[in-house]
Amino acid sequence: MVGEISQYLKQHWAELGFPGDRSPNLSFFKVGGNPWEEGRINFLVFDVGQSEPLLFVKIVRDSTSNPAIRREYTIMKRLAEDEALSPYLPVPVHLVNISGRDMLLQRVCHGKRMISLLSGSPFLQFQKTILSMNFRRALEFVETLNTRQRKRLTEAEFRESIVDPLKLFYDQYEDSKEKKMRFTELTERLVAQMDGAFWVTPIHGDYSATNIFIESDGRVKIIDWETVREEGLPFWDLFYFMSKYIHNMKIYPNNRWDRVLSIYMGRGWLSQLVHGTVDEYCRKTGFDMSLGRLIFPLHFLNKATIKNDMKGRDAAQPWIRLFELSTQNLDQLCF
Amino acid sequence: MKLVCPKCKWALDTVQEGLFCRSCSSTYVKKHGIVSFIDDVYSYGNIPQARWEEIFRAIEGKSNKEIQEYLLSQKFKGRWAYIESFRHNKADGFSFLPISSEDVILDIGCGPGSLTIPLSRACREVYALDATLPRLRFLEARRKNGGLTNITPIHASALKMPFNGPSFDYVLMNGVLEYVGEWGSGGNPEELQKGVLKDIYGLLKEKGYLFIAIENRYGYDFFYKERDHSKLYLTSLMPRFLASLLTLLLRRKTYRTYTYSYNRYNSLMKNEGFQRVEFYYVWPDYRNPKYIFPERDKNIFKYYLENFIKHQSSRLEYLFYRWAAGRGVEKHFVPHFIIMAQK
Repeated sequence: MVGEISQYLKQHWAELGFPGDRSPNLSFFKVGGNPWEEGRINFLVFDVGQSEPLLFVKIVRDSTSNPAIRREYTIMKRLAEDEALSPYLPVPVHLVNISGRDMLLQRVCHGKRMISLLSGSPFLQFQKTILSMNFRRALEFVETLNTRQRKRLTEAEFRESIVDPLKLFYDQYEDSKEKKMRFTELTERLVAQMDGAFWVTPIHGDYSATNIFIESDGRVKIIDWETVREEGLPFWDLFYFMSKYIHNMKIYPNNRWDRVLSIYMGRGWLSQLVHGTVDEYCRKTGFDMSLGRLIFPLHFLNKATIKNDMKGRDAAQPWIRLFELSTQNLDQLCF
Repeated sequence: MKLVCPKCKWALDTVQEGLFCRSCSSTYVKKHGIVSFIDDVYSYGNIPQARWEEIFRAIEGKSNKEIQEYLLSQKFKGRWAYIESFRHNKADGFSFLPISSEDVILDIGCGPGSLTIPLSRACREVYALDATLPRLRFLEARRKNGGLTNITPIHASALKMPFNGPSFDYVLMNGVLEYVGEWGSGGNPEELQKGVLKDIYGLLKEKGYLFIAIENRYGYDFFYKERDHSKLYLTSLMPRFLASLLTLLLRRKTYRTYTYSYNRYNSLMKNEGFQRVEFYYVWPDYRNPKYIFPERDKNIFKYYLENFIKHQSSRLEYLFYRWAAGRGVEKHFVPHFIIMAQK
């Protein structure tokens, strides 16, 4: 496979924007990806002798999964047309077909992933500065995306696009009638709260510190658009970023999953930071905080659907639990 | 491909119960539909035979997804190897090789099919050889579920394979070569390993590749982080006689799972006649190869060091590899290799 990609790149070297005065001597570094059959393999492409990679190549193992990679390409390409969003994207991006397999060729991000900038201190108290800096950086992209790319749906469209897929998943996952009723109650409250203004926005779907690059000039780049969707709820990416960040922190005590809700429902300085971040998001995007409160539990359920699709029922379980607990304790949220 | 008698290398005839050798009159019967050349007594790993029968009853007629769900719902020791065999990334090292739809592959020690299944989609035929029958039965269940018709499971020992002459474009041993020493009845493990390498060389077509995934004897991980195949710490680093003494004392058997250094693997391959030997580094290990890159491009190692090891590993590990890379000796200490040796 690498040989075929290498041949393609050499033939199209100049078209891809690289100096065409010499033939590159390419080397490939298989990096990360998803281990499952329908998952992806990623390669960083180096020109031998260069210390930094030139290209990022993304391939699906099973070529019948090509539509997923095409969707990723189409949405990224469309978002890149927006001049305010373009600086956050790993563009230029090309979709090519080599031996019947679709591949994405992307610009490589240089710098550090935000995850590597998490504080090494095991004590939350010593993470204040870096936490607020990272939350601010993450907010910057989400508020730009959610302000510039929103779309208004009719109630029927909203139900079909947002509510029904979540309901279908939860109905299959959960047997308890009481829990199902709680879900319906929540979504009906949300529909009522939206009061005819059914705004949806594109969502990244895996907006976490792992997928945010801080380049050497301080610019933020968002990578790994595998789970991108045209229509999601406002707040979702922001909530997921904060939840995953809180979950990822290597602090004492090591109760990652319990920690997530206790911070959203606490009154300490981190809860205040969460509150401040949501408040800032609302101020900049114009979305109402009371709407955010109703959307909050659904970001856990949305993540559960993604986990269930990619890794199965067990991987979805902790997110389902967070959804159920948060639905029951909406009045205790810190924002 | 015509299978041959492992004893006398005579071409085997198909008979009702299996295969028959007209030269030495040996009959090789099919067991659970799988042609078998050895007794069904080899190691069952952590799963006892009775448990295996229970598993096969439970997964009969189930889809691959249901099999995974069944295994996840169970709590017996040894199940993870079978759950993880559904991951396709174990075969990612093959992305670096030019496999075509005309190629024939021999997967020695195929286990439950971690590499066999993904490779079968890329080539003409895979011969999947293993000495543990339940693993092949498990592979068969997966093969049928996937509708794959180009996999031939074979119950045989790598020391006596039912093939003759150059027949394969690729032969692979993923985490297998180190165990060869345990299969012979006595004898020097290194000599047994050399014997298998020699046989493989003979089975490869011109320009064919041997693909090996294996530990580096002196890998950094084996200094304090990981146990050796002996299930003890540090034994790969010791002189063989000392390792043997220790395993005899603590595990009641001699040390026979030999791994080697970078240089020794290189010379083992070259001595068997392989023309070109290429090393790839694989991290965190070849069972879950998240990162794979060629040894020959030093800059990729430096990039990996600064962008991955630095943030994902301990400070000590980072400093050690930085020191090694600075002196150009990292190849002697990376924990796992993929070795691609071309005939």
